[in-house]
Amino acid sequence: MVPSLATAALLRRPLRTFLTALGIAIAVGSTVVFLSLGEGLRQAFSQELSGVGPDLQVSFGDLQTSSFAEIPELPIAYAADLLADAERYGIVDLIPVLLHVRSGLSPGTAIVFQGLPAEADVASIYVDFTIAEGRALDAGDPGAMVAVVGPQTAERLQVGVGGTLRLNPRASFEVVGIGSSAGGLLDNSVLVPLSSLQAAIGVEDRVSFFVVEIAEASKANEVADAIMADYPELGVQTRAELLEVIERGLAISDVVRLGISAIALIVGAIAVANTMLMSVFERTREFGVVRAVGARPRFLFGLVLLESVVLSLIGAAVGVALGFLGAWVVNLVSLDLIALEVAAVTPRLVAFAVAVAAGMGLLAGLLPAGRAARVPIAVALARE
Amino acid sequence: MLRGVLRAVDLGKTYRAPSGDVVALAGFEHAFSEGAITAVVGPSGSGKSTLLNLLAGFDVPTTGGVWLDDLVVHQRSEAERASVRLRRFGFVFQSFNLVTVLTARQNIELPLGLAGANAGERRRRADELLRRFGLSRRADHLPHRLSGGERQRVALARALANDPDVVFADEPTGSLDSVTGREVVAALRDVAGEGRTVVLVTHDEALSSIADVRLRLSDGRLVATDHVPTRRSAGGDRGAVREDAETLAPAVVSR
Repeated sequence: MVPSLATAALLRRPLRTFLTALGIAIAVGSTVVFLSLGEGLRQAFSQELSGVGPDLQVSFGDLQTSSFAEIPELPIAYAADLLADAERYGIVDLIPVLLHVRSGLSPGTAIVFQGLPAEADVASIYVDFTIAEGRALDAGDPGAMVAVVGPQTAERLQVGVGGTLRLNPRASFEVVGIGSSAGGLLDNSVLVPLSSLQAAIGVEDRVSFFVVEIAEASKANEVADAIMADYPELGVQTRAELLEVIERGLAISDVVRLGISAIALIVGAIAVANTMLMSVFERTREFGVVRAVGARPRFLFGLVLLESVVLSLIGAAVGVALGFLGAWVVNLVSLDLIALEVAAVTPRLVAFAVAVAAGMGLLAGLLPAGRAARVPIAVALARE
Repeated sequence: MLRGVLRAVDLGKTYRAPSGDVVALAGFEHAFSEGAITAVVGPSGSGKSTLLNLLAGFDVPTTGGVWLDDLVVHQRSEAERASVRLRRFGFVFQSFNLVTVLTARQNIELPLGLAGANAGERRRRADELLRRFGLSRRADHLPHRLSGGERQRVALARALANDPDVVFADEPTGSLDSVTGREVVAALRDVAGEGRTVVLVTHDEALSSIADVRLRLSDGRLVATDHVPTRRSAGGDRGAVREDAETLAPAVVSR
């Protein structure tokens, strides 16, 4: 009975119902796309960071400003100093990393080079990284102009094993291996021997940062404090701090994007409220009849609220589909521009969008439902 | 079998208006007979609709009250009055007032569903009423596909769904031709014959003559109560009712 009444109410003015649902779909769809940007970045970072074996990252000064600096600032000599006290600090392994971005004419042709000691075990930094084709860098490579290319970079630049990547007029790398997709930023990097990259860009004694593995991961904060006490000029960040910094940044951007989405959602909610109010007005007599034959006010209240929520959920279902489509388009563009999928429609995002739509339907339905419940029977029955 | 007694004591309704209070009904007193049709007659503006609204619990009186046996209807909350309407009252209106988006069967099942009957019970009771009113083949039709007479029979079936004690009929033949009007009158006699109180509100003197008791309203006051003593014996006899409706015997004025 209730489903019949609710369905009939929504189908009574199909065009109006369609347009309202479309409004909600667009509101929910845009929310999904906006929030998917954060989810995509969060996924990329968490995949990347979960692949970081070491517990600490040591940089010269503040990590955020130094890691991607044009000119690496961390003197490699600190590696020897820290390793000399390895036992005291509890350091198990220390790997210097040099990051260098070769900018292109467009963001799509930019290449991120990562210089690592050729003998270092890549898997100790990127646990998910495996070689799909060719070989990994090995101990015979120091100084050699060879490279292992992340899968997305390989695809974007159309290079395979045996191909050449040009860094600058003086230096080109021969591709000896293609990594397999582990997701994250490594997919978009080119791994080369550290000494080769240093020579190519002329910074023999400097790197971007050290990644450090310690014996007891739970003591990361103590070790970081100890190193910074000994070397105040160094910045040491634990993985937790790094995640926290990234998460805080993403959370701020979530709030901003949610704020923008809220405008669309509020407009959607007003459309639902308007539609439901019109519907209640048109059905005054019907509601009077239903009340006359014995329905309690709360029956009509619930009926109108149900219709409002159902209308919103129909809109949300279409909106989520639109969101998937929008995120796909965004990724198509972002892959082309920066070789990274920045949008991801995750289950929790879908759940959030559906919950928001249901909440929106409930809120938007309150006023019309209240009106429906208060319809005076005698007045409603007298109405033509 | 007699059921509940519907009583109105000093019943009155005054509407507040900027130009002054409007007395729609005042000092109405009557105990409605069980198993009989009581017609409320009077011209437009005499207070018939106000009386129906107060008796049925659609509205609350400003003076006096309504009792159904010992149940004080007018002092109940809106939800409790809804419950009384659902379980003890049935309604038939001039313009049928079927829910247009529900089929004949669904309209009949509506009060059953509101009363919490399960699907099986609803179906069984609806089938019974559809058969009784000759609507079995029209069960799945929406109201706009039914004739006026069929719609009013669906309305009657809906009114009887929860086996009410009192059936209110507000100008039940007003939208029907004379033949289907007589069918509805006959059906109302049957309803009264089952021991139910039938309150028939009409401005149609001819229709009111089928009643056992006739209450005449004028300017919001009860001005006459007419009794037709032989009428009750005809209850339940469809043939006799037809004859009543057609002969439209004059009522005896007792007041």
